[in-house]
Amino acid sequence: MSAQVTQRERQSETQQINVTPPVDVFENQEGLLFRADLPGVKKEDISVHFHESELVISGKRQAGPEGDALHRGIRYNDFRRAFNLQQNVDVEKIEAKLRHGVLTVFLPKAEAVRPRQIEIQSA
Amino acid sequence: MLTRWNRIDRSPLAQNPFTLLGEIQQHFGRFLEDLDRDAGLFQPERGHFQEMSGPRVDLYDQGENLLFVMEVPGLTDKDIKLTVNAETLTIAGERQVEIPEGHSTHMRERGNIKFSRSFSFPCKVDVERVSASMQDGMLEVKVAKAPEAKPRQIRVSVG
Repeated sequence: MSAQVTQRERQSETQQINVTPPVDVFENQEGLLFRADLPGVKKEDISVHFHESELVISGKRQAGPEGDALHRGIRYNDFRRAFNLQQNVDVEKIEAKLRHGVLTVFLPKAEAVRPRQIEIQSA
Repeated sequence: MLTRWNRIDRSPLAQNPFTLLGEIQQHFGRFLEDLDRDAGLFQPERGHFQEMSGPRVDLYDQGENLLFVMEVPGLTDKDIKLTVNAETLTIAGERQVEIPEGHSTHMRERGNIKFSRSFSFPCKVDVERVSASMQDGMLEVKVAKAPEAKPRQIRVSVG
């Protein structure tokens, strides 16, 4: 299984990946929030992958409609973005959703790195 | 545990300077394309670069009708206004990207969108038969051609 994944990643490195969708990244005490514009991309064609503190959002975009193109401004290419987080993330609780062509990924911080009030003990 | 969260793409790919160059090239390519897109068909509004570059558009001739396809991520039908007359289709729309409450910002690439674009029809159309739909952040506007503009099959008579 893991061998397959490695191979796929290697393939994607050699492929020309032309599209880097714009991404916003926010943070609060709970975690990190990513938003990416992915218009026209189907849910099943998006991969959100988190491994060794790297978040990878990638996928493919289906070809455009049928017909003679009189003008083409849209690119129906594969896309990929990768982010190194250097942050302890609670991997089990990562959530992703797609709405109106905008992908939202929420990565909750692991308990260990959340800000915490430390009580001062009296001696 | 105390390492700071770094914002820029720092995948193993990006750490190789040559790959990083490739990435810069991609971004620059996107910039050039944005400029390119504003030539020809489009009459962008004056304003910020974001507004000038506007959403990407495809136009197809499907025989019976023309099909306009536009990327409008994050917009709903309420954010889009369509006007059509015999010569032109105008699509206007707006989206505000707000920072979620109580969050700090690491990176902002998704700008606010505000655009109004007019497209001249390349043939005669039937303004009574225009339909529009939105799905997955894509707007599709179908405009029926006028009968005289539709493709016609000519039968070759023998004799």
